[in-house]
Amino acid sequence: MKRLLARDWWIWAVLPVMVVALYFDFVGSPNDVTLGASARILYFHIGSATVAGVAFTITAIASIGYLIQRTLTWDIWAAASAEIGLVFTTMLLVSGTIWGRIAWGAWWTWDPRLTATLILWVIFAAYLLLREWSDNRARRATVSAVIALIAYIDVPIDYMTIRWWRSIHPVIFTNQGINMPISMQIPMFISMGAMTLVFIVWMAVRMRLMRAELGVGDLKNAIRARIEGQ
Amino acid sequence: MSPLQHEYLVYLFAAYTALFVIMFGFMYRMLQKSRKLDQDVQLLKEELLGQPPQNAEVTSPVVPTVRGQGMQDA
Repeated sequence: MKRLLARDWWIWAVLPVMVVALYFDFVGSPNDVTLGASARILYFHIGSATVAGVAFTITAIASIGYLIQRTLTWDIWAAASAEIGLVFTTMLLVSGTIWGRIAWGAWWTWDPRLTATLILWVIFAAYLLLREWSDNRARRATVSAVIALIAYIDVPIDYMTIRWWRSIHPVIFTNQGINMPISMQIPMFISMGAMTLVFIVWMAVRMRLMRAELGVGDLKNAIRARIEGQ
Repeated sequence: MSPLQHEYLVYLFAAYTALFVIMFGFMYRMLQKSRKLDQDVQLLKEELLGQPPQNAEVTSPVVPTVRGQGMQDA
């Protein structure tokens, strides 16, 4: 057990933060006057939205980095972040659907915010599928970077939909401040923090695995060159 | 809070907890996998680099030898 904790101890740092987030979400926060206990879905929902936005922004920055420097590390960053962003967008859509059923009485409406988020999910799913299209690392990285940058256009649009168009989706972050009582803001920010930490750790682990996969690829190439040289 | 609301709250708590546990388990499993893969790659690299290529040029004459027996005088 000691050895287990000593090696890669940082992954264990996530556990206490998760427990604190659960405590504040369920014990340290009040019920909503209209929605009752189900308002707690929002903490998880907003946390997922934050991480998805951050993840896709990192993908876009890394894609620009790759197109400028042509270094595969940028491509690894972009792919790892897009993968995690897609998982969090899925969680965002699922939690939003459940909350919508309770608050609006419908699982889904073609509201601008909901539609833009669904489009985002589809585009980044396509991005990850297209990455498997080519074995040529350099070509794959270039095509992926271009697709990621096109896909990223939807992120600010998604954020602004509820401000630009008429939408039934609530606006929490307004120019006048946060549209939520302080007793609900605390668990919301703690949830956001916990999910961001999960994202950071997940990124570190995913990138390490991707580097190891690249090592396997290099090894395969070395063996192939050796066999062909015989 | 009504008994039904309390039941929903328990379900929601169970769902959140399960999700966090699944995420942690997934990350831990991935870390183990990458660690194992790193070790295997390192081992294979050492094996591959330490071993001369099979088509290496012969630079010295090959003479018939038997282990433990020196060359006999002609």
